[in-house]
Amino acid sequence: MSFSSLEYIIFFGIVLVVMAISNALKSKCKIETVQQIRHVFLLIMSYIFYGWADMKFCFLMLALTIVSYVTSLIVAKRDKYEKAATVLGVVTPLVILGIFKYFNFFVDSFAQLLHTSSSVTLSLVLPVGISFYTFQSLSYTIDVKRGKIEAQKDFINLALYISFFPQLVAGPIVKAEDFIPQLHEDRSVSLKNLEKGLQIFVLGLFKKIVIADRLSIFVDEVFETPSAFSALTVVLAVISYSIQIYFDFSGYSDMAIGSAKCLGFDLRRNFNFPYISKNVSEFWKRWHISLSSWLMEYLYIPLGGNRKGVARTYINLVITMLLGGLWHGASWTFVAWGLFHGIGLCVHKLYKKIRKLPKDYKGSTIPNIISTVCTYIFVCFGWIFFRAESFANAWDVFRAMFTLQGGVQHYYIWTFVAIAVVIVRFVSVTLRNKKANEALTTDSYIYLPLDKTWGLTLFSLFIMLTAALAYFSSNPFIYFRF
Amino acid sequence: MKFRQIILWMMKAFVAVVISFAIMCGFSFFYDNVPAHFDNLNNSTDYKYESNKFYSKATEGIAFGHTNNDGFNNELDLGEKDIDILLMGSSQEEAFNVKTSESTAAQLNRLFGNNYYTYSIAHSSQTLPYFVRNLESALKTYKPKSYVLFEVQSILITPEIAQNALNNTLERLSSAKGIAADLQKVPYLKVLYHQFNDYKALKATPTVAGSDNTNTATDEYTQNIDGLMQKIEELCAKYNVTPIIYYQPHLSLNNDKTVNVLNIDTPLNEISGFYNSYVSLCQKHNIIFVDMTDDFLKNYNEKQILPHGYCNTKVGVGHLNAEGHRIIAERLYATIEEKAVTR
Repeated sequence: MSFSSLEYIIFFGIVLVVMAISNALKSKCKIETVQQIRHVFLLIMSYIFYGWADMKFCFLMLALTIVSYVTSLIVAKRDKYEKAATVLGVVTPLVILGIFKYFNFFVDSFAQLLHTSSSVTLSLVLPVGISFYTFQSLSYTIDVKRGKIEAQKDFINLALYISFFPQLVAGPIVKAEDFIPQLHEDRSVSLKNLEKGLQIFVLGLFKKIVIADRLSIFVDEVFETPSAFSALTVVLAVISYSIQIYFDFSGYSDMAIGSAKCLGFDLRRNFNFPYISKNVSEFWKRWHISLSSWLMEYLYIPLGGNRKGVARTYINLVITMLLGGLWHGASWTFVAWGLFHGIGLCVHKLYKKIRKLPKDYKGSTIPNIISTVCTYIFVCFGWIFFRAESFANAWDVFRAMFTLQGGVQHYYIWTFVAIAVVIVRFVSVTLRNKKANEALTTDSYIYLPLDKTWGLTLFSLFIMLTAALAYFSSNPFIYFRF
Repeated sequence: MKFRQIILWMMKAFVAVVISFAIMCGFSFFYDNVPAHFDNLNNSTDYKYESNKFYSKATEGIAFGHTNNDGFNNELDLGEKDIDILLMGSSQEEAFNVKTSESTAAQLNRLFGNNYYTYSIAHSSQTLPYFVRNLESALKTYKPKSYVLFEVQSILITPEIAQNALNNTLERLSSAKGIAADLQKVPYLKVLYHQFNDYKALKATPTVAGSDNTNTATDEYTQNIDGLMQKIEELCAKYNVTPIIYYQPHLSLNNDKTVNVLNIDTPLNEISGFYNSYVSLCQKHNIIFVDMTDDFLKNYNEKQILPHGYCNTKVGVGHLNAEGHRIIAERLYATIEEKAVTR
């Protein structure tokens, strides 16, 4: 079930109504009982949400949850089975991910390497969101092992943490330490939460069905036949893709955050204006924040981080980004994208070391603008690998741009609309934050006062505009496939 | 929250919705606003649009204009000039996606100067069977002196529709009536209606009409086309006009800079048997057949411009753009001029 579908609107409406009704139970039952009822209800609805297209994947998620539950309880006992339980708790999600997502890829790659045909490929459908909930399950076991959180004795709470429908299929990847404590608080539907949550949701919907889906028409066409288009058109298609993937994914994250907010839960922001980054390191602090912080905490630091010398630091960075690339999809183009960013991070680290720049170096305006433009161009080059179906396809795109080839000129109007939307949104949030004397990193949402007529007018206007401009296509969210 | 507060908030929300709805109507008036259509009582077409109404399209192409006193998209009103050439076509020739002056009819008029006047009665969803069913009424109503043009973008025809046209049982393309027609006049509701239809189309399972993917025309196909063309021949002879069918295929890009020629979605070379049969039946019934394929290909090779698609759609997909209308107008002009010389 996609957030941008009519089914989801109906589904979510039912969830909201039942959760709101649960508030009335507080006067009749103990708060713990009410919470338990809410959690069971949310868990059932999360499984319905996940099993909407295919119920059988629910069993996979349930099996993973049971393994995480049992192993973490054993780990928490700190007895002689702790190590074995940890290994089981970590290896199980990885094996599931490996079989469903990477088995055929590696078998095919080895077969190609040995110039033979593979006869052991599995005909498996990739379960939606598997990369997300396996990572959550993994981090939960690791955090219990590290003693950062307590093992959950309540199975419902753990199952809800892994399957919570707003963030289930495409993130943000939520840490147990952020989410599980919220289950012990009285969180439910309230007017205050609805006021904010609905606005965040509609913003995400606009990003997805108006901007990202419309850009996909142009991007798909140019990436399918890059050699047929002029150099400038291909450049515009690459710029369009950079905006499409940003609006598609951040739109999904907004809808997830908004849905959770309506239900009374807080999910951390996943994007923070990534294209204003002045270097690649900063980009990864602003892009898919939940994944980059996950990779940092559960991969880069365990590999040794920057504690084992200069060479190891660079190797660790490259390994982390390579695996981060592979996480996005079982294809060598994703590996190349990860490698590209890994090298970018190493070069930036080296540059900082040579220039002896302090950690909090801010720089002056003109060099900062140049750095931002250069970083954006670097990221766009990376997106070519990310979007291309193959290396040959990526090569065609690069060749089209750098040989200044002639061809069909198509200046897609929604590209310019999207650029304008990005600029307007950035400027409005910056001005708002300046006015409120806040740092840009605090909150990227502008809330309208829905208790005032002008606020309601602007909000309903935005909803009506979204309905009028929406592009109805069969474009699923880009990150669904990861 | 007290009851009084709830009532107050609901009143605020109502006012907000009314204001935003009014603003959106203003926006939709310029964004996507084709006049409402209703049954054409003289049966020359299935329906016609409201006369003298402003239209706008920013969803596919960017165009503004207004319908004439007859409810079609022409530069001149009906009655201002005698009609020499009558153009019957689909939404491709309805030309709401381009300026009225860029339509095939308008460009033909410029090319002919004062010699011939072309009048378009094209509207959405009309295909050859509908033209045949409406032809006599159209010829009676508009009285073209020399030619009648039929625009087709597909040589494949759904057998049932063809047979119904031949048996005079083809149902009229529906037009909204009563409240539904009135609601169509509210610009934002019309936009929402289009959006809802797009959403429904997305959910629907696509069906393919036409060929059974064999490259040989079936007997049924040949009989149907033969029947339709015979009717065209008879009626055109009766009203002393020359029929011209012009076929305008779609082009899609390949990565090696070549293009595919498509009959809607099907590569034309995969249905060449149907194509050959269609062309030979045109010859049999004294209908001039104009195939735009070579002209479109030549234009693409010279300018890298495809005849369909706009700056807000996929290249090569959808309706004819100004370039497409120009190429067709020039080719029709050349065909008619050539015929005049040889005559």
